[in-house]
Amino acid sequence: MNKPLLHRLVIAFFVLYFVAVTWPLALWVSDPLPLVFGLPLPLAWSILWILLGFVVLLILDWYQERS
Amino acid sequence: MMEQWVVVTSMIVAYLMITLAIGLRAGKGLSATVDGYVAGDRNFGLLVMYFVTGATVFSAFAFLGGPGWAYSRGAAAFYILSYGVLGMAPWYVIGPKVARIGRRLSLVTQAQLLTARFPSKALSVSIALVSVVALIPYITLQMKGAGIVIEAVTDGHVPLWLGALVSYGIVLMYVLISGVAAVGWTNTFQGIFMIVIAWALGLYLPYALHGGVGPMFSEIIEARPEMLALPGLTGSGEAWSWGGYTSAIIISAVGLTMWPHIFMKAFTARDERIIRRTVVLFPTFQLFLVPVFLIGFAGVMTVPELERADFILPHLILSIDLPLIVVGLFCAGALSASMSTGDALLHATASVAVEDGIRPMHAMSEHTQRWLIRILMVVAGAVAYLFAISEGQSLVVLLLTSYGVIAQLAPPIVAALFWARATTPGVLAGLLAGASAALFGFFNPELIPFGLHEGIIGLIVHVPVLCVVSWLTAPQPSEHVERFLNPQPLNNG
Repeated sequence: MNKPLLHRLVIAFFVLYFVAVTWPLALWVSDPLPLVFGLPLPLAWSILWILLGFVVLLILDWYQERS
Repeated sequence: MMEQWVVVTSMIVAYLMITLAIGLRAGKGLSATVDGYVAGDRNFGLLVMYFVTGATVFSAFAFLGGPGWAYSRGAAAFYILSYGVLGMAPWYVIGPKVARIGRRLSLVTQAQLLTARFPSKALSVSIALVSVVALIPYITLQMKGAGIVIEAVTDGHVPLWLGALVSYGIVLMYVLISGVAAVGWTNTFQGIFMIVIAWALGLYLPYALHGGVGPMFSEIIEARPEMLALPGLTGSGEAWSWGGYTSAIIISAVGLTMWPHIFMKAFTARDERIIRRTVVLFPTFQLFLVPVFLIGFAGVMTVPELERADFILPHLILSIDLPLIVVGLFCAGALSASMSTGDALLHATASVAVEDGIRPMHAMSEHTQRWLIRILMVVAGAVAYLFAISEGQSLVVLLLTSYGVIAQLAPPIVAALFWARATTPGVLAGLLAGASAALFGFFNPELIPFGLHEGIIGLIVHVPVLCVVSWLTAPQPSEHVERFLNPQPLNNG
Protein backbone atom coordinates (compact mmCIF):
# COMPACT_ATOMS: atom_id res chain seq x y z
CA MET A 1 0.00 0.00 0.00
CA ASN A 2 1.39 3.45 -0.82
CA LYS A 3 1.88 5.94 1.97
CA PRO A 4 -0.65 8.67 1.07
CA LEU A 5 -3.39 6.05 0.71
CA LEU A 6 -2.55 4.58 4.11
CA HIS A 7 -2.58 8.04 5.69
CA ARG A 8 -5.98 8.78 4.13
CA LEU A 9 -7.36 5.48 5.43
CA VAL A 10 -6.07 6.21 8.94
CA ILE A 11 -7.62 9.68 8.92
CA ALA A 12 -10.88 8.18 7.64
CA PHE A 13 -10.79 5.63 10.47
CA PHE A 14 -10.41 8.31 13.15
CA VAL A 15 -13.23 10.37 11.63
CA LEU A 16 -15.35 7.23 11.76
CA TYR A 17 -14.23 6.67 15.40
CA PHE A 18 -15.36 10.19 16.28
CA VAL A 19 -18.72 9.78 14.53
CA ALA A 20 -19.27 6.37 16.16
CA VAL A 21 -18.93 7.62 19.74
CA THR A 22 -20.87 10.89 19.41
CA TRP A 23 -24.36 12.00 18.48
CA PRO A 24 -26.16 10.91 16.32
CA LEU A 25 -24.52 7.52 15.68
CA ALA A 26 -24.08 6.83 19.41
CA LEU A 27 -27.91 6.87 19.72
CA TRP A 28 -27.74 3.43 18.15
CA VAL A 29 -25.80 2.04 21.13
CA SER A 30 -27.31 4.23 23.85
CA ASP A 31 -29.37 1.44 25.46
CA PRO A 32 -27.50 -0.45 28.21
CA LEU A 33 -28.77 -3.85 27.04
CA PRO A 34 -27.62 -6.33 25.90
CA LEU A 35 -24.67 -6.82 28.23
CA VAL A 36 -21.48 -7.64 26.32
CA PHE A 37 -19.07 -9.77 28.39
CA GLY A 38 -20.98 -8.50 31.43
CA LEU A 39 -20.56 -4.83 30.42
CA PRO A 40 -23.39 -2.50 29.35
CA LEU A 41 -23.46 -1.90 25.58
CA PRO A 42 -22.29 1.77 25.60
CA LEU A 43 -19.27 0.84 27.75
CA ALA A 44 -18.40 -2.16 25.59
CA TRP A 45 -18.78 0.05 22.49
CA SER A 46 -16.30 2.63 23.86
CA ILE A 47 -13.80 -0.13 24.71
CA LEU A 48 -14.20 -1.69 21.26
CA TRP A 49 -13.21 1.61 19.60
CA ILE A 50 -10.18 2.03 21.85
CA LEU A 51 -9.02 -1.45 20.82
CA LEU A 52 -9.69 -0.73 17.13
CA GLY A 53 -7.76 2.55 17.48
CA PHE A 54 -4.86 0.63 18.98
CA VAL A 55 -4.81 -1.84 16.07
CA VAL A 56 -4.98 0.93 13.45
CA LEU A 57 -2.13 2.85 15.12
CA LEU A 58 -0.07 -0.36 15.25
CA ILE A 59 -0.60 -0.94 11.53
CA LEU A 60 0.26 2.70 10.74
CA ASP A 61 3.44 2.49 12.78
CA TRP A 62 4.44 -0.81 11.23
CA TYR A 63 4.19 0.71 7.73
CA GLN A 64 5.96 3.88 8.87
CA GLU A 65 8.90 1.88 10.24
CA ARG A 66 9.15 -0.27 7.12
CA SER A 67 9.51 2.76 4.89
CA MET B 1 -2.26 -4.02 68.72
CA MET B 2 -1.05 -1.08 66.71
CA GLU B 3 -3.83 1.27 65.68
CA GLN B 4 -5.01 0.93 62.10
CA TRP B 5 -4.26 4.47 61.06
CA VAL B 6 -0.67 4.14 62.26
CA VAL B 7 -0.11 1.13 60.00
CA VAL B 8 -1.64 2.92 57.02
CA THR B 9 0.35 6.08 57.74
CA SER B 10 3.59 4.08 57.88
CA MET B 11 2.79 2.57 54.48
CA ILE B 12 2.18 6.03 53.07
CA VAL B 13 5.47 7.28 54.51
CA ALA B 14 7.32 4.28 53.02
CA TYR B 15 5.74 4.94 49.63
CA LEU B 16 6.66 8.64 49.75
CA MET B 17 10.25 7.81 50.66
CA ILE B 18 10.63 5.43 47.70
CA THR B 19 9.23 8.11 45.37
CA LEU B 20 11.62 10.69 46.77
CA ALA B 21 14.61 8.37 46.35
CA ILE B 22 13.69 7.64 42.72
CA GLY B 23 13.15 11.34 42.02
CA LEU B 24 16.46 12.39 43.50
CA ARG B 25 18.43 9.68 41.70
CA ALA B 26 16.90 10.69 38.35
CA GLY B 27 18.77 13.98 38.08
CA LYS B 28 22.22 12.39 38.27
CA GLY B 29 24.29 12.84 35.13
CA LEU B 30 22.03 15.48 33.61
CA SER B 31 23.62 18.59 32.10
CA ALA B 32 23.34 21.82 34.14
CA THR B 33 21.51 23.65 31.35
CA VAL B 34 17.96 24.79 30.66
CA ASP B 35 17.78 21.98 28.10
CA GLY B 36 18.69 19.52 30.84
CA TYR B 37 16.31 20.93 33.44
CA VAL B 38 13.27 21.57 31.25
CA ALA B 39 13.69 19.01 28.45
CA GLY B 40 15.77 16.29 30.19
CA ASP B 41 18.58 16.77 27.63
CA ARG B 42 16.01 15.46 25.10
CA ASN B 43 16.91 11.95 26.16
CA PHE B 44 13.73 10.18 27.38
CA GLY B 45 13.39 6.58 26.15
CA LEU B 46 10.20 4.68 25.27
CA LEU B 47 9.45 3.23 28.73
CA VAL B 48 9.74 6.60 30.45
CA MET B 49 7.85 8.48 27.70
CA TYR B 50 5.02 5.93 27.83
CA PHE B 51 4.50 6.37 31.55
CA VAL B 52 5.13 10.11 31.52
CA THR B 53 2.36 10.54 28.96
CA GLY B 54 0.01 8.03 30.56
CA ALA B 55 0.54 8.97 34.20
CA THR B 56 0.48 12.68 33.43
CA VAL B 57 -2.84 12.44 31.61
CA PHE B 58 -4.39 10.34 34.39
CA SER B 59 -4.43 12.49 37.47
CA ALA B 60 -6.16 12.51 40.83
CA PHE B 61 -9.12 13.64 38.78
CA ALA B 62 -9.22 10.25 37.02
CA PHE B 63 -8.59 8.23 40.19
CA LEU B 64 -11.15 10.02 42.37
CA GLY B 65 -13.23 11.92 39.79
CA GLY B 66 -13.57 8.90 37.45
CA PRO B 67 -15.30 6.66 40.02
CA GLY B 68 -17.20 9.75 41.21
CA TRP B 69 -18.61 10.35 37.73
CA ALA B 70 -19.52 6.70 37.21
CA TYR B 71 -21.19 6.61 40.64
CA SER B 72 -23.21 9.81 40.31
CA ARG B 73 -23.59 10.37 36.54
CA GLY B 74 -23.47 6.83 35.15
CA ALA B 75 -22.93 6.55 31.39
CA ALA B 76 -21.91 10.23 31.18
CA ALA B 77 -18.50 9.06 32.41
CA PHE B 78 -17.96 7.14 29.14
CA TYR B 79 -17.12 10.41 27.40
CA ILE B 80 -13.79 10.31 29.30
CA LEU B 81 -13.17 6.89 27.75
CA SER B 82 -13.99 8.12 24.25
CA TYR B 83 -11.89 11.27 23.90
CA GLY B 84 -8.45 10.00 24.95
CA VAL B 85 -7.43 8.08 21.84
CA LEU B 86 -9.14 10.64 19.56
CA GLY B 87 -7.17 13.40 21.25
CA MET B 88 -3.85 11.57 21.21
CA ALA B 89 -3.93 10.21 17.61
CA PRO B 90 -3.09 13.55 15.87
CA TRP B 91 0.02 13.67 18.09
CA TYR B 92 1.46 10.87 15.92
CA VAL B 93 1.96 13.53 13.24
CA ILE B 94 2.24 16.71 15.34
CA GLY B 95 4.54 15.38 18.10
CA PRO B 96 7.52 14.34 15.94
CA LYS B 97 7.23 17.55 13.91
CA VAL B 98 7.29 19.66 17.09
CA ALA B 99 10.26 17.65 18.39
CA ARG B 100 12.18 18.18 15.13
CA ILE B 101 11.61 21.94 15.12
CA GLY B 102 12.43 22.07 18.85
CA ARG B 103 15.77 20.37 18.29
CA ARG B 104 16.68 22.65 15.37
CA LEU B 105 15.73 25.90 17.08
CA SER B 106 16.51 24.87 20.71
CA LEU B 107 12.93 25.30 21.94
CA VAL B 108 11.63 23.99 25.26
CA THR B 109 8.07 25.38 25.47
CA GLN B 110 4.90 25.63 23.41
CA ALA B 111 4.97 29.44 23.28
CA GLN B 112 8.56 29.39 22.03
CA LEU B 113 7.42 27.24 19.12
CA LEU B 114 4.55 29.60 18.33
CA THR B 115 6.61 32.79 18.64
CA ALA B 116 9.39 31.28 16.51
CA ARG B 117 6.85 31.04 13.69
CA PHE B 118 4.84 34.14 14.69
CA PRO B 119 7.33 36.57 16.29
CA SER B 120 5.46 38.60 18.92
CA LYS B 121 6.20 39.34 22.55
CA ALA B 122 2.49 39.90 23.17
CA LEU B 123 1.76 36.37 21.88
CA SER B 124 4.43 34.85 24.11
CA VAL B 125 3.23 36.66 27.23
CA SER B 126 -0.46 35.94 26.58
CA ILE B 127 0.25 32.23 26.15
CA ALA B 128 2.28 32.27 29.38
CA LEU B 129 -0.61 34.00 31.14
CA VAL B 130 -3.28 31.66 29.76
CA SER B 131 -1.16 28.62 30.66
CA VAL B 132 -0.40 29.69 34.22
CA VAL B 133 -4.02 30.69 34.91
CA ALA B 134 -5.18 27.30 33.59
CA LEU B 135 -2.48 25.28 35.36
CA ILE B 136 -2.82 26.64 38.91
CA PRO B 137 -6.37 25.29 39.55
CA TYR B 138 -5.19 21.99 38.06
CA ILE B 139 -2.35 21.80 40.62
CA THR B 140 -4.76 22.77 43.39
CA LEU B 141 -7.04 19.86 42.47
CA GLN B 142 -4.14 17.40 42.62
CA MET B 143 -3.03 18.66 46.04
CA LYS B 144 -6.56 18.54 47.38
CA GLY B 145 -6.92 14.98 46.01
CA ALA B 146 -3.78 13.89 47.87
CA GLY B 147 -4.93 15.60 51.08
CA ILE B 148 -8.44 14.10 50.90
CA VAL B 149 -7.14 10.57 50.46
CA ILE B 150 -4.67 10.81 53.32
CA GLU B 151 -7.23 12.40 55.64
CA ALA B 152 -9.82 9.71 54.81
CA VAL B 153 -7.61 6.66 55.35
CA THR B 154 -6.03 7.94 58.56
CA ASP B 155 -9.43 8.63 60.16
CA GLY B 156 -8.64 12.34 60.18
CA HIS B 157 -5.43 11.90 62.20
CA VAL B 158 -3.49 13.41 59.31
CA PRO B 159 -5.66 16.37 58.24
CA LEU B 160 -5.93 17.57 54.64
CA TRP B 161 -3.56 20.49 55.14
CA LEU B 162 -0.81 18.26 56.51
CA GLY B 163 -1.27 15.46 53.97
CA ALA B 164 -1.17 17.90 51.06
CA LEU B 165 1.80 19.73 52.58
CA VAL B 166 3.92 16.61 53.09
CA SER B 167 3.12 14.92 49.77
CA TYR B 168 3.71 18.09 47.76
CA GLY B 169 6.72 19.05 49.84
CA ILE B 170 8.24 15.81 48.55
CA VAL B 171 7.16 16.51 44.97
CA LEU B 172 8.78 19.95 45.18
CA MET B 173 11.97 18.48 46.60
CA TYR B 174 12.58 16.05 43.78
CA VAL B 175 11.47 18.35 40.98
CA LEU B 176 13.55 21.24 42.37
CA ILE B 177 16.66 19.09 42.39
CA SER B 178 16.25 16.87 39.34
CA GLY B 179 13.92 18.87 37.06
CA VAL B 180 11.97 17.04 34.39
CA ALA B 181 14.11 13.90 34.73
CA ALA B 182 12.52 13.38 38.17
CA VAL B 183 9.09 13.67 36.59
CA GLY B 184 10.07 10.98 34.10
CA TRP B 185 11.32 8.35 36.53
CA THR B 186 8.83 8.93 39.34
CA ASN B 187 5.98 8.78 36.82
CA THR B 188 7.23 5.42 35.60
CA PHE B 189 7.14 4.09 39.16
CA GLN B 190 3.81 5.74 39.93
CA GLY B 191 2.27 4.74 36.58
CA ILE B 192 2.97 1.04 37.17
CA PHE B 193 1.65 1.38 40.70
CA MET B 194 -1.64 3.03 39.79
CA ILE B 195 -2.41 0.61 36.95
CA VAL B 196 -1.92 -2.41 39.19
CA ILE B 197 -3.99 -0.92 42.02
CA ALA B 198 -6.80 0.22 39.71
CA TRP B 199 -7.17 -3.18 38.06
CA ALA B 200 -6.95 -5.04 41.37
CA LEU B 201 -9.63 -2.87 43.03
CA GLY B 202 -11.73 -2.58 39.88
CA LEU B 203 -12.11 -6.33 39.66
CA TYR B 204 -12.19 -7.03 43.39
CA LEU B 205 -14.84 -4.50 44.50
CA PRO B 206 -17.61 -5.59 42.05
CA TYR B 207 -16.83 -9.19 42.99
CA ALA B 208 -16.88 -8.54 46.76
CA LEU B 209 -20.03 -6.39 46.69
CA HIS B 210 -22.09 -7.95 43.89
CA GLY B 211 -20.55 -11.33 43.02
CA GLY B 212 -19.02 -10.12 39.75
CA VAL B 213 -19.05 -7.43 37.06
CA GLY B 214 -22.00 -8.88 35.08
CA PRO B 215 -24.29 -9.33 38.12
CA MET B 216 -23.38 -5.80 39.25
CA PHE B 217 -24.53 -4.23 35.99
CA SER B 218 -27.66 -6.44 35.87
CA GLU B 219 -28.61 -5.14 39.32
CA ILE B 220 -28.08 -1.51 38.30
CA ILE B 221 -30.05 -1.93 35.05
CA GLU B 222 -32.95 -3.44 36.94
CA ALA B 223 -33.10 -0.67 39.54
CA ARG B 224 -31.89 2.40 37.60
CA PRO B 225 -31.84 1.70 33.84
CA GLU B 226 -31.53 5.42 32.99
CA MET B 227 -28.13 5.49 34.65
CA LEU B 228 -26.42 3.22 32.12
CA ALA B 229 -28.06 4.66 29.00
CA LEU B 230 -26.13 7.27 26.99
CA PRO B 231 -25.61 10.18 27.46
CA GLY B 232 -26.01 9.55 31.20
CA LEU B 233 -26.95 12.06 33.86
CA THR B 234 -25.94 15.56 34.91
CA GLY B 235 -24.44 16.32 38.32
CA SER B 236 -27.91 16.96 39.72
CA GLY B 237 -29.33 13.68 38.42
CA GLU B 238 -31.31 14.81 35.36
CA ALA B 239 -30.65 13.41 31.88
CA TRP B 240 -27.54 14.99 30.25
CA SER B 241 -27.96 16.46 26.77
CA TRP B 242 -26.37 14.87 23.69
CA GLY B 243 -24.95 18.31 22.87
CA GLY B 244 -23.19 18.39 26.23
CA TYR B 245 -21.87 14.83 25.85
CA THR B 246 -20.65 15.26 22.27
CA SER B 247 -19.06 18.66 22.83
CA ALA B 248 -17.32 17.39 25.99
CA ILE B 249 -15.65 14.74 23.79
CA ILE B 250 -14.67 17.31 21.14
CA ILE B 251 -13.26 19.94 23.48
CA SER B 252 -11.37 17.41 25.60
CA ALA B 253 -9.89 15.72 22.52
CA VAL B 254 -8.80 19.06 21.08
CA GLY B 255 -7.45 20.30 24.42
CA LEU B 256 -5.71 17.09 25.55
CA THR B 257 -2.29 17.54 23.94
CA MET B 258 -2.45 21.33 24.18
CA TRP B 259 -1.93 21.31 27.95
CA PRO B 260 1.57 22.74 28.40
CA HIS B 261 2.68 19.93 30.72
CA ILE B 262 1.81 17.35 28.06
CA PHE B 263 2.80 19.31 24.94
CA MET B 264 6.24 20.16 26.33
CA LYS B 265 7.09 16.47 26.71
CA ALA B 266 7.57 16.38 22.90
CA PHE B 267 10.81 18.24 23.57
CA THR B 268 12.02 15.57 25.99
CA ALA B 269 11.96 12.52 23.68
CA ARG B 270 15.25 11.03 22.51
CA ASP B 271 14.00 10.62 18.96
CA GLU B 272 10.84 10.94 16.89
CA ARG B 273 10.20 7.24 16.81
CA ILE B 274 9.73 7.26 20.59
CA ILE B 275 7.00 9.90 20.36
CA ARG B 276 5.19 7.88 17.69
CA ARG B 277 5.48 4.67 19.74
CA THR B 278 4.09 6.50 22.79
CA VAL B 279 1.01 7.48 20.77
CA VAL B 280 0.61 3.93 19.46
CA LEU B 281 0.73 2.52 23.00
CA PHE B 282 -1.47 5.22 24.56
CA PRO B 283 -4.75 3.25 24.07
CA THR B 284 -3.41 0.59 26.44
CA PHE B 285 -3.13 3.26 29.13
CA GLN B 286 -6.60 4.54 28.28
CA LEU B 287 -8.06 1.16 29.21
CA PHE B 288 -6.96 1.91 32.79
CA LEU B 289 -10.18 3.92 33.06
CA VAL B 290 -12.30 0.77 32.76
CA PRO B 291 -11.52 -0.59 36.25
CA VAL B 292 -11.74 2.96 37.60
CA PHE B 293 -15.34 3.16 36.36
CA LEU B 294 -16.12 -0.34 37.66
CA ILE B 295 -15.15 0.90 41.13
CA GLY B 296 -17.62 3.78 40.85
CA PHE B 297 -20.41 1.52 39.58
CA ALA B 298 -19.77 -0.87 42.46
CA GLY B 299 -20.99 1.88 44.77
CA VAL B 300 -24.26 2.67 42.96
CA MET B 301 -26.37 0.01 44.66
CA THR B 302 -24.41 -0.28 47.91
CA VAL B 303 -23.88 3.37 48.89
CA PRO B 304 -27.30 5.06 48.54
CA GLU B 305 -26.56 8.78 48.79
CA LEU B 306 -23.03 10.03 49.11
CA GLU B 307 -22.98 13.80 49.37
CA ARG B 308 -19.68 14.24 47.55
CA ALA B 309 -19.41 11.72 44.73
CA ASP B 310 -15.62 12.10 44.46
CA PHE B 311 -15.30 10.38 47.84
CA ILE B 312 -16.87 7.14 46.58
CA LEU B 313 -13.56 5.28 46.23
CA PRO B 314 -12.18 6.07 49.73
CA HIS B 315 -15.69 5.49 51.09
CA LEU B 316 -15.95 1.99 49.57
CA ILE B 317 -12.43 1.12 50.66
CA LEU B 318 -13.18 2.06 54.26
CA SER B 319 -16.75 0.71 54.46
CA ILE B 320 -15.94 -2.89 53.54
CA ASP B 321 -13.57 -4.92 55.65
CA LEU B 322 -10.45 -4.84 53.54
CA PRO B 323 -7.07 -6.00 54.80
CA LEU B 324 -5.02 -3.01 55.98
CA ILE B 325 -2.41 -3.61 53.35
CA VAL B 326 -5.03 -3.08 50.62
CA VAL B 327 -6.09 0.22 52.19
CA GLY B 328 -2.47 1.35 52.32
CA LEU B 329 -1.84 0.27 48.73
CA PHE B 330 -4.96 2.04 47.53
CA CYS B 331 -3.78 5.19 49.22
CA ALA B 332 -0.39 4.94 47.54
CA GLY B 333 -2.13 4.38 44.19
CA ALA B 334 -4.26 7.50 44.61
CA LEU B 335 -1.23 9.50 45.73
CA SER B 336 0.63 8.22 42.66
CA ALA B 337 -2.12 9.53 40.42
CA SER B 338 -2.11 12.91 42.14
CA MET B 339 1.64 13.36 42.39
CA SER B 340 2.51 12.07 38.91
CA THR B 341 0.36 14.81 37.41
CA GLY B 342 1.16 17.42 40.05
CA ASP B 343 4.92 17.25 39.52
CA ALA B 344 4.61 17.72 35.75
CA LEU B 345 2.16 20.59 36.32
CA LEU B 346 4.41 22.42 38.78
CA HIS B 347 7.41 22.00 36.52
CA ALA B 348 5.50 23.17 33.43
CA THR B 349 3.94 26.17 35.19
CA ALA B 350 7.28 27.56 36.35
CA SER B 351 9.07 26.76 33.07
CA VAL B 352 6.38 28.49 31.01
CA ALA B 353 6.28 31.52 33.33
CA VAL B 354 10.06 32.01 33.04
CA GLU B 355 10.70 31.02 29.42
CA ASP B 356 7.63 32.67 27.89
CA GLY B 357 6.49 35.28 30.38
CA ILE B 358 9.72 36.79 31.74
CA ARG B 359 12.60 35.95 29.40
CA PRO B 360 11.16 37.72 26.30
CA MET B 361 11.22 40.93 28.42
CA HIS B 362 14.55 40.48 30.21
CA ALA B 363 17.56 38.66 28.82
CA MET B 364 19.13 36.36 31.43
CA SER B 365 21.78 33.67 31.74
CA GLU B 366 20.96 29.96 31.73
CA HIS B 367 22.00 29.79 35.38
CA THR B 368 19.55 32.56 36.35
CA GLN B 369 16.79 30.89 34.30
CA ARG B 370 17.17 27.60 36.11
CA TRP B 371 17.10 29.31 39.48
CA LEU B 372 14.11 31.42 38.56
CA ILE B 373 12.22 28.30 37.44
CA ARG B 374 12.95 26.73 40.83
CA ILE B 375 11.80 29.81 42.75
CA LEU B 376 8.61 30.10 40.72
CA MET B 377 7.91 26.42 41.24
CA VAL B 378 7.83 27.05 45.00
CA VAL B 379 5.64 30.13 44.46
CA ALA B 380 3.20 28.23 42.20
CA GLY B 381 3.13 25.39 44.74
CA ALA B 382 2.42 27.81 47.58
CA VAL B 383 -0.39 29.58 45.70
CA ALA B 384 -2.02 26.26 44.75
CA TYR B 385 -1.60 25.04 48.32
CA LEU B 386 -3.39 28.09 49.72
CA PHE B 387 -6.28 27.44 47.34
CA ALA B 388 -6.27 23.75 48.29
CA ILE B 389 -6.62 24.30 52.04
CA SER B 390 -9.20 27.08 51.73
CA GLU B 391 -12.76 25.93 51.13
CA GLY B 392 -14.21 26.45 47.69
CA GLN B 393 -16.27 24.29 45.37
CA SER B 394 -15.66 26.24 42.21
CA LEU B 395 -12.31 24.59 41.40
CA VAL B 396 -13.70 21.78 39.29
CA VAL B 397 -15.73 24.33 37.39
CA LEU B 398 -12.60 26.42 36.97
CA LEU B 399 -10.71 23.42 35.62
CA LEU B 400 -13.42 22.57 33.09
CA THR B 401 -13.38 26.20 31.98
CA SER B 402 -9.63 26.19 31.59
CA TYR B 403 -10.02 23.19 29.24
CA GLY B 404 -12.06 25.50 27.01
CA VAL B 405 -9.33 28.14 27.14
CA ILE B 406 -6.43 25.68 26.65
CA ALA B 407 -8.20 24.25 23.58
CA GLN B 408 -7.80 27.72 22.03
CA LEU B 409 -4.07 26.94 21.68
CA ALA B 410 -4.89 24.23 19.12
CA PRO B 411 -5.68 26.47 16.09
CA PRO B 412 -2.41 28.48 16.41
CA ILE B 413 -0.38 25.26 16.76
CA VAL B 414 -2.03 23.69 13.72
CA ALA B 415 -1.58 26.95 11.77
CA ALA B 416 2.10 27.17 12.77
CA LEU B 417 2.85 23.64 11.57
CA PHE B 418 0.57 23.22 8.56
CA TRP B 419 -0.67 26.53 7.14
CA ALA B 420 1.76 28.65 5.11
CA ARG B 421 -0.58 31.62 4.85
CA ALA B 422 -1.08 32.12 8.61
CA THR B 423 0.31 35.42 9.94
CA THR B 424 1.17 36.86 13.34
CA PRO B 425 -1.78 39.33 13.45
CA GLY B 426 -4.12 36.51 12.37
CA VAL B 427 -2.97 34.21 15.16
CA LEU B 428 -3.11 36.97 17.78
CA ALA B 429 -6.58 38.10 16.72
CA GLY B 430 -7.86 34.51 16.62
CA LEU B 431 -6.51 33.70 20.07
CA LEU B 432 -7.98 36.85 21.59
CA ALA B 433 -11.39 36.35 19.94
CA GLY B 434 -11.51 32.63 20.75
CA ALA B 435 -10.53 33.00 24.41
CA SER B 436 -12.96 35.90 24.89
CA ALA B 437 -15.81 33.95 23.27
CA ALA B 438 -15.09 30.93 25.50
CA LEU B 439 -15.11 33.11 28.62
CA PHE B 440 -18.27 34.92 27.49
CA GLY B 441 -19.96 31.56 26.97
CA PHE B 442 -18.87 30.45 30.42
CA PHE B 443 -20.51 33.45 32.09
CA ASN B 444 -23.63 33.31 29.90
CA PRO B 445 -24.43 29.60 29.55
CA GLU B 446 -28.10 30.37 28.87
CA LEU B 447 -27.10 31.88 25.50
CA ILE B 448 -25.39 28.68 24.28
CA PRO B 449 -27.62 26.31 22.25
CA PHE B 450 -27.86 22.50 22.75
CA GLY B 451 -25.87 22.60 26.02
CA LEU B 452 -22.61 22.91 24.07
CA HIS B 453 -19.30 23.41 25.92
CA GLU B 454 -18.20 27.08 25.90
CA GLY B 455 -14.82 26.03 24.47
CA ILE B 456 -16.62 24.93 21.28
CA ILE B 457 -18.10 28.42 20.95
CA GLY B 458 -14.56 29.76 21.36
CA LEU B 459 -13.27 27.54 18.53
CA ILE B 460 -16.21 28.44 16.26
CA VAL B 461 -15.21 32.12 16.63
CA HIS B 462 -11.46 31.52 16.73
CA VAL B 463 -10.87 29.65 13.46
CA PRO B 464 -12.64 32.09 11.06
CA VAL B 465 -10.99 35.10 12.75
CA LEU B 466 -7.56 33.49 12.43
CA CYS B 467 -8.16 32.72 8.74
CA VAL B 468 -9.71 36.05 7.72
CA VAL B 469 -7.16 38.26 9.50
CA SER B 470 -4.31 36.15 8.10
CA TRP B 471 -5.65 36.55 4.55
CA LEU B 472 -5.98 40.31 5.06
CA THR B 473 -2.38 40.75 6.26
CA ALA B 474 0.93 40.31 4.44
CA PRO B 475 2.11 36.69 4.12
CA GLN B 476 5.31 35.55 5.84
CA PRO B 477 8.47 34.97 3.73
CA SER B 478 8.37 31.46 2.29
CA GLU B 479 11.85 30.45 3.55
CA HIS B 480 10.72 31.29 7.11
CA VAL B 481 7.49 29.31 6.74
CA GLU B 482 9.31 26.33 5.21
CA ARG B 483 11.28 25.73 8.43
CA PHE B 484 8.00 24.96 10.21
CA LEU B 485 5.99 23.24 7.50
CA ASN B 486 8.80 20.95 6.38
CA PRO B 487 11.41 20.84 9.15
CA GLN B 488 14.51 18.88 8.17
CA PRO B 489 15.91 16.42 10.71
CA LEU B 490 19.31 17.12 12.26
CA ASN B 491 21.95 14.57 11.33
CA ASN B 492 22.45 13.54 14.94
CA GLY B 493 18.73 13.25 15.70
